[in-house]
Amino acid sequence: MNGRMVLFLIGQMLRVEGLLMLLPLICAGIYGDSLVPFLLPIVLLCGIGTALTIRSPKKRDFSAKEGFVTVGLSWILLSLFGSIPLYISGYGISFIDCFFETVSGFTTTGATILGETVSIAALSKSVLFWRSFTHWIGGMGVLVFMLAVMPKSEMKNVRLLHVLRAEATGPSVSKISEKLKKTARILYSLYIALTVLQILFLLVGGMGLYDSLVNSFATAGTGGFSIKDLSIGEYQNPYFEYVIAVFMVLFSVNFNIFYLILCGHALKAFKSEELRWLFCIIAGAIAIIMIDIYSLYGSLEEVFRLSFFQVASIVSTTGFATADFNLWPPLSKLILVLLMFIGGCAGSTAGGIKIGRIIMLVKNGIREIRYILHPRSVISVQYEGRKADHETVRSTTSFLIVYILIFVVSILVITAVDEFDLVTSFTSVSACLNNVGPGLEMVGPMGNFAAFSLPSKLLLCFDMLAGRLEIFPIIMLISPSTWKRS
Amino acid sequence: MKIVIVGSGKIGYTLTGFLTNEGHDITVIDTSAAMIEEIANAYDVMGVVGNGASVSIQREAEVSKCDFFISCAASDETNIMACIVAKTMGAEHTIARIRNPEYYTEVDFIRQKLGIDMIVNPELEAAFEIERIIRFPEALKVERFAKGRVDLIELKVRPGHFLDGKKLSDFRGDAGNNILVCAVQRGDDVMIPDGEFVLCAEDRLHITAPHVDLVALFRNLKIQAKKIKTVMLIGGGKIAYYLAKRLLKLGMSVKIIENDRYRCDYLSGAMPKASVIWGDGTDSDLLLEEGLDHVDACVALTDNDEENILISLFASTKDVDKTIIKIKRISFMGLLSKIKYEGSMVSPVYATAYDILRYVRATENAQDSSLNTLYKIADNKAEVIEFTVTKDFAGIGVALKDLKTKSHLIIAGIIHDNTVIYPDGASCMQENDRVIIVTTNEGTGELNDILL
Repeated sequence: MNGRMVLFLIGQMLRVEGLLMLLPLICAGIYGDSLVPFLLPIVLLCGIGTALTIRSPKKRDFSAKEGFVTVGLSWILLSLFGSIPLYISGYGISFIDCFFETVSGFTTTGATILGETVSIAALSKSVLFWRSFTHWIGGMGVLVFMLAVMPKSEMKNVRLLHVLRAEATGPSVSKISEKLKKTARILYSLYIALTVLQILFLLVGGMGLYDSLVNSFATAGTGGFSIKDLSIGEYQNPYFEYVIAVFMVLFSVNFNIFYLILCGHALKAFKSEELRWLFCIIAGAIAIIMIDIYSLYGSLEEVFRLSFFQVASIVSTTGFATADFNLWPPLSKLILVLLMFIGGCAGSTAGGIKIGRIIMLVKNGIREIRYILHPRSVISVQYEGRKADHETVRSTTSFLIVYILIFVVSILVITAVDEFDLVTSFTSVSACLNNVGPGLEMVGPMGNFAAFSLPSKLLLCFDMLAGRLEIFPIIMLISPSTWKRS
Repeated sequence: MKIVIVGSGKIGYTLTGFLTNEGHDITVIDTSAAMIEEIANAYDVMGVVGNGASVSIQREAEVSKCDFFISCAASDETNIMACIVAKTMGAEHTIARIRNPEYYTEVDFIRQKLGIDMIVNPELEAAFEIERIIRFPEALKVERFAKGRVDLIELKVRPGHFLDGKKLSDFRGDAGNNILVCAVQRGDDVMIPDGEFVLCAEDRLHITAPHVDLVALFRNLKIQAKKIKTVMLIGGGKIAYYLAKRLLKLGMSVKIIENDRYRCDYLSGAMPKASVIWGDGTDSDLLLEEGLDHVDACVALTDNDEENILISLFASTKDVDKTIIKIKRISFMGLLSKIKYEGSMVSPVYATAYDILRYVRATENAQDSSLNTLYKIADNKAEVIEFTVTKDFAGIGVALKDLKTKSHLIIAGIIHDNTVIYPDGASCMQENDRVIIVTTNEGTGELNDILL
């Protein structure tokens, strides 16, 4: 393995994180918070980053293995350094809790340990800003950002597509421009533009600038950290709820589709099979939940608003709440849990298995049935109007198997260690692995993850990272064959 | 520049490497998803899976916006069709690979009526290169510039030869006044020599000289410049066909050994003067029977690199003066020079990819600069650049000995009114002359860059 190149890229990444931490530093300056919690990590990040990148490595070979290891290590280091501000701000939160909170932030999960011992309201504005900003960074990915800003000369002759492939979501990665750097820039431009649009919409509705910023960051990354104890519901403002719900749906759409629309191929964009499935799933889920919870609330508008918001929040794996859905009837809860697993589109900031994979798995299943009926038939899996590559179908199937394995083992361990009720254990793992945030019962929208024991929290951190990076980069890190010399 | 390449076979792949290295935006189209996957992993390019001649695929690859459309798919018809479609879609320049000799005779029609700007034929390129080597057997390599008017020849100094230890200023007096040593390759270093430079054994010289002087040079240098009269070609493919035709025209006697009966029939029908032998070219007995030990040159052109290497090693043990092999896998070329292989190597893939690269560079520079072509020699460590002298060049009319030029740079030739001047200190450049510069400096974009 070309360790020098991996370290070099990690160094670049650390410097980028240091750079991005300037924003909360500015925020701390404005609100008169202590600057030290940000200054210290910035100095550390820039120092270590510069030390690692001072000499560009001579050997430039870079295979899929290096790409996956770079991404896996980067995300762990990213979270370790990112948890420094919360830890040294002096709220008496243990380091593992800070780490959990930061991993939850970067992986756009939104599962929090804040609530009972330290309430969200107790944190300073700059720390809360950083907490929400981690969602925004993690949504599109810090390495994609790095690719967008890295000097061209450093990118020459390095097979960096492996980095994009390991960090971006979905079964296959397609570049939308010839150059990797340009692709990364287009993705980030779209991301920034959409975020700014949401901030403007919220400002117009009368939300304060600070609240607009942090809520938009949390929506854009499909994270779900809220700066209020009752999440978005605390604003009691239907306009905000609609705006945020619409943007949650937008951020769970494949970014390539926005690019297509911008390039004037709107028709082609709406022909996207995955997009249609997304809308069908949302519409279907809203309909069922509306019927199910109609008796609990008064007006049709309120029922529609609550179910739309909650469906959008869960399918995009954001995890905002406007109602305590833990108190909803079992059918609605089940629908929401199922939506957690489905997640958004490939190539979006959402988590979950991704609709594209679900489509392929369903079609592959149908194909299998037809094979049994007509053993000699030759059937291809059609996806997005063309024959899906055999390799993609294969890797999707193996993704699902590993995904289920991790899921089952995590539930087993957490149930054995903490002995909470089954729903809590089940939904806590599914909320973390799918990067949703809140689950049901103890970890419901009004609950938190503080009660879990240390090993469970570490395991949930692992699940969050595995979910965000789509399993393989993190599995690669702990697989002995990666580190063997060969 | 935006470039679309159809076909990610050997030429497509090599070309993609060359062009990404120069920072162009490249889209590759290929019917095989696996090949696209491979090339997208290796280089920073976008891949499109599909038939490059189809309109919808070309739309997907945004051919309408591209500056260059290069089609090097396996079939000539696909390439021609793809280029016609691309031109109609709005591609600026189109380049097609056409290898079928039957189409190749209609090249002018294809170029003019079908609107294909450049046609490349790897086998023909390779045949040209081999022909040049056969005409100058002592040269390891012959490159051609200024539309074929100037040859750049690579020579190796043998130990104990009188060039060994010679000072360059003496060399010119001894060997002929028009001979210019442009670059010297010593080990891994490449130097642009001045008059004080002393040659030593194992140096590879890159020299330019007029045709007559070269012949004289070989005689003067007492290199046994035995003119090649008999050539044996092993493998009767397309290169052999083109090559044999040209060699026969030069009056050489040509023997072709080919494995396939029908191909033999075809070859003998097309070239009655050549002697065509039906047999296995890797059979040493057959080769000896057909007089391998008496021919002046042996050219191994089978489809198999390993066979070609073996044949040429065998031929050199039989004291064949000149052995030439065709190599498909370029990575072998470096390896062979390491094992002190004495023969010449020709790669159709490399030759073609370079040809296209030169065309792209030339067109790219044509609009805003006077740079005509650029070529890399000596393991890509030195550049040969051809410029047209424009009136804003600061050194017009100045004698070269008074011209303050940068170091590591030499003016290898001036073409004035269609005659080639091999410059000395008194020569000077005039407007509209073309000059050939050899340099190891990078980034010479226009002629004024050569001045201090």
